[in-house]
Amino acid sequence: MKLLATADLHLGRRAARLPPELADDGRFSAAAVWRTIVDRAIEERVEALLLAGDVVDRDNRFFESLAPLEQGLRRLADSGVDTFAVAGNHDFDVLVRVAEHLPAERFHLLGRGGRWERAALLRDGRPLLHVDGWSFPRERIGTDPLAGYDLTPPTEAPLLGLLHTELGVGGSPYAPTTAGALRSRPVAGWVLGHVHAPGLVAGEGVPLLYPGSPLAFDFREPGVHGAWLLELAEGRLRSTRLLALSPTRYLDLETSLDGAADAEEARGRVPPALRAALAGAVAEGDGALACLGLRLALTGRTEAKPRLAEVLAEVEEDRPALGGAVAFVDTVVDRTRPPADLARLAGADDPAGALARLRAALEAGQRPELLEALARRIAGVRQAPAYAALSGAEAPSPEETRALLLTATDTLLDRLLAQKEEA
Amino acid sequence: MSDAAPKPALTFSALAVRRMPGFEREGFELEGFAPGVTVIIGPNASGKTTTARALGALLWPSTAPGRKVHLIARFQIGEETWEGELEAGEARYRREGRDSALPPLPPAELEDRYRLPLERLLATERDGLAAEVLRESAGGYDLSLAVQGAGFRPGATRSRKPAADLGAAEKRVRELQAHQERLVREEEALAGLDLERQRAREAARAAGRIAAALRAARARERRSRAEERLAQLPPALARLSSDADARLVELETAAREGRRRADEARAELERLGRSLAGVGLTVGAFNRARSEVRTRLEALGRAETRVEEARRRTAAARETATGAATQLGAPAGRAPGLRRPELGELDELIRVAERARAAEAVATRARFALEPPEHLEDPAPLTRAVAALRRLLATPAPPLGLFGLLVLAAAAALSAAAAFALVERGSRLGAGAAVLAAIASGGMAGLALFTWDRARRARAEVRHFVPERVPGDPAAAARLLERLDQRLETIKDGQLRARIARGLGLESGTSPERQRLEQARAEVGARLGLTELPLDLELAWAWHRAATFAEATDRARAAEAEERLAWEEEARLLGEIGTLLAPFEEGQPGDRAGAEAALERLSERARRLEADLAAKERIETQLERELEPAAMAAEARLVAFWSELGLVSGDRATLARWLEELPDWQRNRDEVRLAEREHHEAMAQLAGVEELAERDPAELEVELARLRERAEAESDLAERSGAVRREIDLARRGHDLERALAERDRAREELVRLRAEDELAVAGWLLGEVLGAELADRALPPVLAGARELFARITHERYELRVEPGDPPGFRARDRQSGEVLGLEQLSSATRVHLLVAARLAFVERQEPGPALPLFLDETLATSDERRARALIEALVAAARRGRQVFCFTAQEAEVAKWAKVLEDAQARGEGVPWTVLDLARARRGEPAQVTVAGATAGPRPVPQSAGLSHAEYGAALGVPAPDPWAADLGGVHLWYLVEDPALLERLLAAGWERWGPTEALARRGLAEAVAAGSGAALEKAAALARAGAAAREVWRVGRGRPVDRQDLAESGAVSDKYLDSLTELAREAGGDARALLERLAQKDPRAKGFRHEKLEALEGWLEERGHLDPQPPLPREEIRLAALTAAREELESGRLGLDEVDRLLARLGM
Repeated sequence: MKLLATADLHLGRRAARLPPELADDGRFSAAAVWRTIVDRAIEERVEALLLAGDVVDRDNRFFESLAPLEQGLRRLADSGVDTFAVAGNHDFDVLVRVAEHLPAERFHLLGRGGRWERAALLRDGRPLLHVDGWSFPRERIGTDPLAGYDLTPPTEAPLLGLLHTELGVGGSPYAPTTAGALRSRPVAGWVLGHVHAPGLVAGEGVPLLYPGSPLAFDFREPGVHGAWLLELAEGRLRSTRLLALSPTRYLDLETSLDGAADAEEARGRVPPALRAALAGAVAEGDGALACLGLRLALTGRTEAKPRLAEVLAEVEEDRPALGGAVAFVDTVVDRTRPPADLARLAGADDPAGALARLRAALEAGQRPELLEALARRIAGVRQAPAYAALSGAEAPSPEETRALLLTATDTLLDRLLAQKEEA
Repeated sequence: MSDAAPKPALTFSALAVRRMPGFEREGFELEGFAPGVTVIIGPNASGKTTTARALGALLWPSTAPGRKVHLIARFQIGEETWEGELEAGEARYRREGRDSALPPLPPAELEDRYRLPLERLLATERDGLAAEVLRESAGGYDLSLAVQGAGFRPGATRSRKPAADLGAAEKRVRELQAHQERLVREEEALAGLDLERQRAREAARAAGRIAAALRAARARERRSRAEERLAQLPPALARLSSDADARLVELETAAREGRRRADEARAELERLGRSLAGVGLTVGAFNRARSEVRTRLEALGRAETRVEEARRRTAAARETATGAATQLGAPAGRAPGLRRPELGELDELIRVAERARAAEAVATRARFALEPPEHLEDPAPLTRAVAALRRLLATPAPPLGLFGLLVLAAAAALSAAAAFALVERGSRLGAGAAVLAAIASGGMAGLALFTWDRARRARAEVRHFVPERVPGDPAAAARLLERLDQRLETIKDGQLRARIARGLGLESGTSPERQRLEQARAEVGARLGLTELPLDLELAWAWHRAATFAEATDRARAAEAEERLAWEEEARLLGEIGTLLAPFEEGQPGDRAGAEAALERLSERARRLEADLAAKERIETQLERELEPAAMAAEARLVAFWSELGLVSGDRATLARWLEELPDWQRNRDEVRLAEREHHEAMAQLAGVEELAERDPAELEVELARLRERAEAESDLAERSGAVRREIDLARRGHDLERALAERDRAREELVRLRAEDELAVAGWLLGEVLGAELADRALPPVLAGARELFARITHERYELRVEPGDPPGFRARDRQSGEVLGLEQLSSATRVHLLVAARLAFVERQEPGPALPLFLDETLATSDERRARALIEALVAAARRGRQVFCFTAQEAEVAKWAKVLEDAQARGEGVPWTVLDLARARRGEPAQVTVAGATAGPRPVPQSAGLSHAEYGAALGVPAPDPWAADLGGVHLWYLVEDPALLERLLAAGWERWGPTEALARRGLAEAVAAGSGAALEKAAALARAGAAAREVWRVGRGRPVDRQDLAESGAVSDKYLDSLTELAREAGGDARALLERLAQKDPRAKGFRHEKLEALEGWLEERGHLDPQPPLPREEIRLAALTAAREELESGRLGLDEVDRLLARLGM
């Protein structure tokens, strides 16, 4: 028996980190991915689709998301595919309204009102599968939903659990529970929602699957995204496979310019790296990839460092394309270092020497007063009116502060040495 | 500052500006630059800045303003003379007349170390020199520059735009969400809305029923009222139409018309009856007679034709006979007496004559052919001559001529003689040879002699028989022989023809044929009875003519007989026609034409008779079948009209009254019908609830109003409901919020990224500060020491110059009195200028590669007070003393005086430098530019103190000159007119700013505040006042001619020297009023006695042309004031200028 599982669709949203020419492209909306999932469910002839909450984004839960959701659910029902769903913190109220407009025999919203509920997948009047589920009754639930789980195990068909929860975070307002608690239940497996990164939760026993968001929204959601194809046999979850249905993918790419003698050589290294990354993403995709976003970090020691600004500008304009997918560079971070002999520089009684000595001290974990001073200034920056809208950010750790100082040191040293070269 | 060791200096001596921006058409030249100090004075826009830029461009061609520049200069570098030329962006230099490159100079980027215009110094806030000084002290590194170049900052960016973008994106999201939430509420309210709609629809239906009941009740009432009114009117009105009166008139007219037409028909019938009775004949008789007459007329025509043809044939035959007789020679009027039976005999006789005539012709031709020539020559001599000539031509030509013959004879003789001689001498062989020679020679001579003689004899013979000489040439002799042969042949032919003629007997006499012919001719003539016959050859023709005559005569007779017969036929036919016409009172016609005319009259009478009969029949039929019935019907309709109305025929009074009442009746009848229809329709709508119509209408109305009010809400509800549904549908298909959310996320990401950048920038800034502090204690370089010393000297030890690292590194001035360290922006403008000049002077004095280059000051001292200006000039003169050339460009004579004073004092101390003052305006006019200025005497006039004086009093103290109302603008007026603050005025005057024009130009360059604090606003106000004053002057001048003075009169060309003084006096007396002057001249003022009329006219024309005469009346003062206020409207409206200030200005300007 084949099933398709997904969660955290966040209908009403779209991928936010795209090049300007694609920013308004309809392919990159959650609604478009939802249509792809429905198509795929019908193509794969699955018996049921499992939705583990947050199908609809709370910020856009009324109209723009509901029309495509209802259309998709009707198509599934018309194609003989049952849909089992639980509500998450985003759509705790929306799915209830949706369910009122849909035929109950094909769309099963489980656990309304925060009470565990079981529904059966019937074929010819006989249950093929039971699904136990629990829905968010409100936006925030700080208690473990499993505490109220008291359903007796079925005997005539396998059982799957469907839940929107945050695992292992005590005090979380998102129905927190633990992997152990889940695995202690007599189910063939759990399909979970809330975490956007797809994957199986590590551990032995009952498989716990976070299908993740099928659309990668931004760089915070790197890697392959899509829906999961599950296969049950003999009452057990036999296999799980991620169908890469997301038209977007985000990737942090590091490219070494180590030893590059000049800007030309540096320039020559970057495009192949971009194309290789795109080729890899296309190969891992399932034919749905349309846009690969890259955050590029250039590393290594290179003579080209003083001229890297030109290279970076060109890289940001580069748009390699392959198999219907296009790659773009969102940001480029220069982490290269000048090839200077820092030890020799440190012997000089001039600004470059002083800077080289300072760098060595920082690397040696010295100059704590500098780290503290910088931490204060960073706090000042974060309190600045310009960034008041980004409230709630945590203070940087000492490691982050040190890394920041080292980056600044390298940049400044680079500038000073360039002055000498120009002179 | 300690003097540096002298080094070669570059000093300009002359400059030619061929082309520069602003001087594209005409350049200028300047010579006589002093190697020490050159002060160049010139008014604004005279080319001072151009000159400074030109000199700079010759040193740094890349700073030239464009490629359209052409400059030439002479200069010295040490002891060497150089020339430089810059054209089209290319610079060429010659050293001592040979092409050469300039020695290394500081790069063009450092040009601002040498060019020191005041506005550039005032605009300097961050001086690169300071960073350079610091870099020098930091081993070549510029930490501040590096920190700045890396984009490091001390804190978060001040830009709120990214946050604003995020805020805007969030706001957009909120708006869309609020909109959707409202839509949700409206969606939830839709059910209630639909219920209300349902109620409204029901109310509408009920209202419809009530309205129908109301309509039925009202219709019923209306019908009752109308029926009551109808009952009060005559019932006959139901049969009366509103056009009854017209109908009556129509019927009466029809009856009258019917009667009239019948009567007319009867009268016509009567007339026709009378006419037909008068004719007395039948149509048949007419037609029969007409047919008979027509038959005879046709026969008559044919008879006439035969007569005509017979006459024509007779005439033709007669003419033929007459012609034939004439040709035969018959006398006129008499025919030949020949008749047809005699013509056969005559024919035989003519054939005889023909044969005789043929024989005669043959004999004549034979005689002509055998007739010999008149003179026949004797052929014998000619025959002999021909024979001799043939012999001569047959004889061969002699081998030798006569001379040859004699030579041969002589040779024979000599050979013989020689033979004898040789024989005697015993030479046999020789003698033999001589004998042989003698024999040969003799033989040849004999042969030649024989031939020659034979020819001679032949020639003699020819000449004997014919008188012709034989030519020597054989060909000519042959042609002679041919001619003689032809003559001989002619003679022989003549002799032959004479012999043949004689043999035939043709010599002379009449032939027998001729005799027979003559006889026949005589006989024919006798037969014809003609005295003269034609020639022999025409006998046959005469016979033919005679035959023709006889035949024609016969034809004529036959035709005459036929004509007579035809004529008789005509007469008979005419008689018959007369007989036929007689019954119709027609007389006997004389000819065919008369008969035809009678026939035509007869036909016409028959046609008239037929027509009358037909008309009679037609009218009878019409009368019977149409006219009489119609007349009766019309009468009947008229009778019926009255009877239908129930009136006695002709009761017009009643009819008229009824017609007046008819509209009222019709209205009521219509009302009844309408009310019935409405009632019927309304009741149809009340099917099932008919009882509603029985209710009181007043009640119904109240209920109807209530129901309608409820129903009216339906459309509004429908609209609202539809709008909500449409909006929901739109929202379900839309993506606005989705896009807005994406934009919000993007903006937030961007802000996070910018914050990370700021954090890095802050980290870098912190590093810069830490390192800067570590490096702050470095020893200052010598250049800073020099600048510090110079700055202290200029400021009289008030300030100490410092260079401090920071963002950016920069010069500071420490106030020695207060200890306060001030940045450039905190210093007064003058002190800032002094600091920057001191720094540059120190730098070029110590860091300058190559020769010492000139310094260019442009109004640099304009903001300096007397004391500091002198200190600065002294420092510059000291630099000049060390060899550096100094140029000072200024528009102010006061500044020139300052320079002159310092230079003269230095000279007096024995520390003088070569110096000069050049007037640029003069150079532009092509005059010598050098001017003499004595510093001691040409110094600025002392400016009176303003303290305690009013504006008017201060003006008096200043001795402000009166304004010239005819000047082109207010540029020349004293500042007193435009600046009312005496203290500010004093400061400006102390700085040499006296007239408005230069002051305005300097203020426009931003120098006002530098001269006197607070002067910027005051001078802006002055500018507005100047505009107002200029506008007021324009209006004031209307109607006021420009005053006339002596120069005008002289320039007019109309006033000779004789009258110049007297007319000038008159003009002065008239206050310069041109019109008054002309009036005095026109009135023959005795002082202008003799000033001719044509000169007066010329003067008037010239004065008018030059604006001295204005035909318009002067405008009132209000107009002048209005013009001033309009010009300064902006300032007046903004409150920067007061009305009273404008009024005071106008008073000062005398307007």
